[in-house]
Amino acid sequence: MSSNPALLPLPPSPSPPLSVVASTLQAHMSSVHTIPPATQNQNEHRNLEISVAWEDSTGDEKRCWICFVEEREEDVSKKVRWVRPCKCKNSLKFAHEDCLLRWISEKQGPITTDVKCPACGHVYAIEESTDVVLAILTFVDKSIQSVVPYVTLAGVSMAFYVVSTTFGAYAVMTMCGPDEGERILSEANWGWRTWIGLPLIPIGLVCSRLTAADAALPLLPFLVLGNDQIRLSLPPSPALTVCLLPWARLLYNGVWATIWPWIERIGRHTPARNGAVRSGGAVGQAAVAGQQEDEEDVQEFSIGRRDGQRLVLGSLLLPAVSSLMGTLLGSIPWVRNKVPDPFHRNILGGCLFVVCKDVASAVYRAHRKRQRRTRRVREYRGD
Amino acid sequence: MSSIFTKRLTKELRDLQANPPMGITVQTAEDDLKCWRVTVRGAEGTLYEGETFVLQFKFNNNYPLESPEVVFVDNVPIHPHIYSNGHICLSILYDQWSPALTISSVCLSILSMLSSATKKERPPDNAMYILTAKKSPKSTTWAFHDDSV
Repeated sequence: MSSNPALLPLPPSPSPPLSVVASTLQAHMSSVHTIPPATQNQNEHRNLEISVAWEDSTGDEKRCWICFVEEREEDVSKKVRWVRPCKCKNSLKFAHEDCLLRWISEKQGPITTDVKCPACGHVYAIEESTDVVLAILTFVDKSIQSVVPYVTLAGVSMAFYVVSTTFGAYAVMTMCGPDEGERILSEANWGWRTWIGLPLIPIGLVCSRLTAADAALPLLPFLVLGNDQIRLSLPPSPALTVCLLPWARLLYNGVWATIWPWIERIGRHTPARNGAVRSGGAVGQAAVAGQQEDEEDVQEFSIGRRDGQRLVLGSLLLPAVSSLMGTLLGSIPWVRNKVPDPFHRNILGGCLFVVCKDVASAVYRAHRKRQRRTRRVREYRGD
Repeated sequence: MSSIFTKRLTKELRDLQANPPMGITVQTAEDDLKCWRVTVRGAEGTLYEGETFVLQFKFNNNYPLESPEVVFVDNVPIHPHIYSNGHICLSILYDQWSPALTISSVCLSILSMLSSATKKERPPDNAMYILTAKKSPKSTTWAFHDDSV
């Protein structure tokens, strides 16, 4: 602390001068205009003068607390206006009006118009010319400014709602076929359940690819469709099918979760080529390396699966793909006889597609793993 | 505007060189006074006793209406309000800035902040902050919740 003994003749007393600096500083920061009591000893006073170097010693000399220019330094030919805008004293008493106005514009936000003195908290009283037109326009401007975010939010939500509803209607038409679709979406049947149900279709489809909504999905169709729509029948009506699908999904995911470790084990038993050629001593290491590869593999695949674009696109294309598969199934006469309703063929087609896709992805994964295990770095044959 | 800027910084530099507060030394004031480096020395009887740190001040033409950009450079002190990239969480450097504050008083505030530390540790969110922070601490939206410094 005593880096400048010549300037700061501090006694080598054990009382740390730091506390003095800190307290002075606090006084300076919170209320610079307050003069600390003169009862402090000489050294403390010395400190004080240094830390609050801009504190005016003469008191009467005007000095702008913003630009620090003193009145006597000023060019007399220039007419500058000095103001005393608040109750601050000493070095914070006076300011150039220009400087203060600049500070006020700096602090003035779009909504807050009051600016306080940073030291004493006095709200600066500002005089300005005003007229009715300006007042009205200001009011209009501020009103618009405050409403804009809400309107934007409402517009975006509305757009999202309209797009979701349209997609829902499209999904119904695609899955049920034109005749049944027209019936469901006819104006006579268009109630609040439709307004809520249709936009929920794309959301439900996306959620079906995530685990986050596992608890809500099985219950949602019951709530939206209502009791009068759901009748136990065979083959199940479209409404009942929609209610049963989430349960079928849970069951299906459960089956995969059960058989997955089993499939993994098959993959692991496949003899790895590079493991076989290694000498006996290295087998343990090879096993460890193999396990690490597995872990890396799992990571790589799980990231791939969480790819957002693929997830959203895949789930939203499901109705179209289901319908395509349903049409293909319908071209087989035997299926056409057994399942006469296009809706059921589409649902079956969709389920078939999901199963095929999952099997294909499992096979792909297993092969990738096997390939990874055969990977070797070729020796450099050059010089 | 720039004339106020130059006049004021010249005055501050002159005063700091004539009457430097304890533990505070101006190293350089370069680039038309726009970039300063000030050495601060940890106060006696505190955790930072004997250590020296360098504060870098960057002023834009709007100084003193706008606060300077103040960061620790090179050797960043380990302190609960100082991030390892040199950014300092101190309200007077951001929204509590006032043109009445000076380089000298800012240095003293930072020294006082150092002195009041009871434990040398980084802020709890340091790792997260330095990953997301922009180069200038003034781009950060600061939340000041410790009034004890």
